[in-house]
Amino acid sequence: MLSALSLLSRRHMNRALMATAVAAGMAGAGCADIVPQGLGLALTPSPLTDPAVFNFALNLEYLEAEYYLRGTTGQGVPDTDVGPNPGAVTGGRQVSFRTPYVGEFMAEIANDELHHVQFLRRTIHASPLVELGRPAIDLEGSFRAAGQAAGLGANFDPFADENSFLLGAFLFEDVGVTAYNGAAKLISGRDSLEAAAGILAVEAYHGALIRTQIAESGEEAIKAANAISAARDTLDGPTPTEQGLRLEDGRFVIAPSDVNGIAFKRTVQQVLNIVYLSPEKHVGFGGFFPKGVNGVVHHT
Amino acid sequence: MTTSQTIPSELQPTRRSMFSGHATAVAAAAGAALALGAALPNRARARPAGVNDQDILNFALNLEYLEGEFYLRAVTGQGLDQALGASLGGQVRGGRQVSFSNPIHRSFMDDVARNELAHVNFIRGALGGNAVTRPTLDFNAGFAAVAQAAGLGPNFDPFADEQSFFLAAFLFEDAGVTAYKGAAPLLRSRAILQAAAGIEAVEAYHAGCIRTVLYKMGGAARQGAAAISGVRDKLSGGEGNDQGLLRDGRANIVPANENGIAYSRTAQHVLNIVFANGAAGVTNGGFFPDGVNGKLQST
Repeated sequence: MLSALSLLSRRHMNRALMATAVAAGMAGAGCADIVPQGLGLALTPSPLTDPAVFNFALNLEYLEAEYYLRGTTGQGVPDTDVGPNPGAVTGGRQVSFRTPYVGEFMAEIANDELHHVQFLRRTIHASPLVELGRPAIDLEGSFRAAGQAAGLGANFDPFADENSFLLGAFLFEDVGVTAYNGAAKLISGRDSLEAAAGILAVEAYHGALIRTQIAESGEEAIKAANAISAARDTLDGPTPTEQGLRLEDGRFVIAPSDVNGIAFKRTVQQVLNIVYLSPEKHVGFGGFFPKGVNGVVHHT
Repeated sequence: MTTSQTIPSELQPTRRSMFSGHATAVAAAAGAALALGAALPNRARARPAGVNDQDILNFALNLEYLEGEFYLRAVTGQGLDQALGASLGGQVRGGRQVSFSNPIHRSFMDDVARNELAHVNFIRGALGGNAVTRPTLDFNAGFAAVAQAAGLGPNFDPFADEQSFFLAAFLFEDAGVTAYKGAAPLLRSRAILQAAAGIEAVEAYHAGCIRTVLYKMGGAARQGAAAISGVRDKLSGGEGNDQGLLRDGRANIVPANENGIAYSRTAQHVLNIVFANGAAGVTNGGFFPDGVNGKLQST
């Protein structure tokens, strides 16, 4: 049984191939690009418009923004930025950071994630898409389930203390990188692409900050981060998408990437497998999104 | 459509629905693209005339040679030629093994070195016989010029100790992120674009680590980073596309604009930084005494 997205992609393939051929013909004008050896000519038509890709991303940005804002300020995304018919947010509270600069690091990330929400909302407003608002978000039962899946015990609470909050952050950031990296080939507009590439970079800066800080937060934190990475890898199926914080030979990994030093990517479905905390196909909600994400793509 | 036999027949679109869907989908996509372009504050720059994907990849390869030699020498004491068992081109001046005081920091830099080596290998493999050779690299002259401009003193030695090395690495990594981000929208091949996005993310991971470590070192490390950030910005057009480790007295690990989006640089502005020369029309200097190889070689 094919997933909805792959079917969509096949249905639109002829159109996209034609469009690509036309664009190539127009742009070519006797100076066609040379495709380097080893990469081949890959036409990967996108089944989604750029605003639809950004709409999917907005769900993830809401999740991150709610997490970091609640952890650093005790308040979530301002009412002015949650869109129409916003879903409820369960859980999340201000964390008592024992290291002042760690609190500052997390506040900086909170700010970036709120800016991403605001930027993506403006982008969607300017498109033909109708804004759907913040989806319902669970920051409580979801983390307990994720913690259990990773073997961190039945009561994992990322808002309990500084290290726990870093681990909750670790769960999100590498996923954000792989999600934007996977979306790069779905985006057709140059301006959209440049914006998405810029958010991708920011998520990777965050990912590195979290990895660096956890590596210096003791053995227990390092092992927990590795367990979370392994749990993510199990949820999203067999394709390689993960490197833990510390490898078996003791080396630390700052940039999870393949043998070519290229960051891993995830499909929309694989991202949903993680945030729904379900390895199954055709799942429409669960985990961090108890009612599912909003938009045309919401099934694993 | 060769894939149609794998689609269950009841789910296959009829010819009629495909055609009727076609026109509306194209119209909607066109409208969406127009509207979206208007909403985005930072418009992607146009691709320079006569420049193709291969030229852009070769430009990136010059920077990867620089980073690869820098990290490999610092972590292992040996360069790319030894790591790959081949002579890749021009001479490399300077660079030696660093004595790291923190084993976790050393391990992170070892990971960075492996990534940069992999980037050199990957891009050379992708370009095949069209890959440019390694240009002459000069870490002594490059860092001396930047250190002077940043006021780090006449004796700044990037390989002297851990803090000096992280400051030197700081010079490269944010620039690498802005270079790949600026190049991404110029690429035509989706496969190359995918690879470039994945390399950009890895450079941003590196930069995030280096900035976090420097911030935690405090005092002189933060001041040095601020000075280097200022030099980068000044060399590359003074457009405010750079940020140090502090903003309004608080930690600033991520250089990003008011939308939380990382900055871009053109190839010319990246060359301004590595040539340590803010003028236009310059073709060598700083880390590249004989210039870079390939079509994109002038500031």
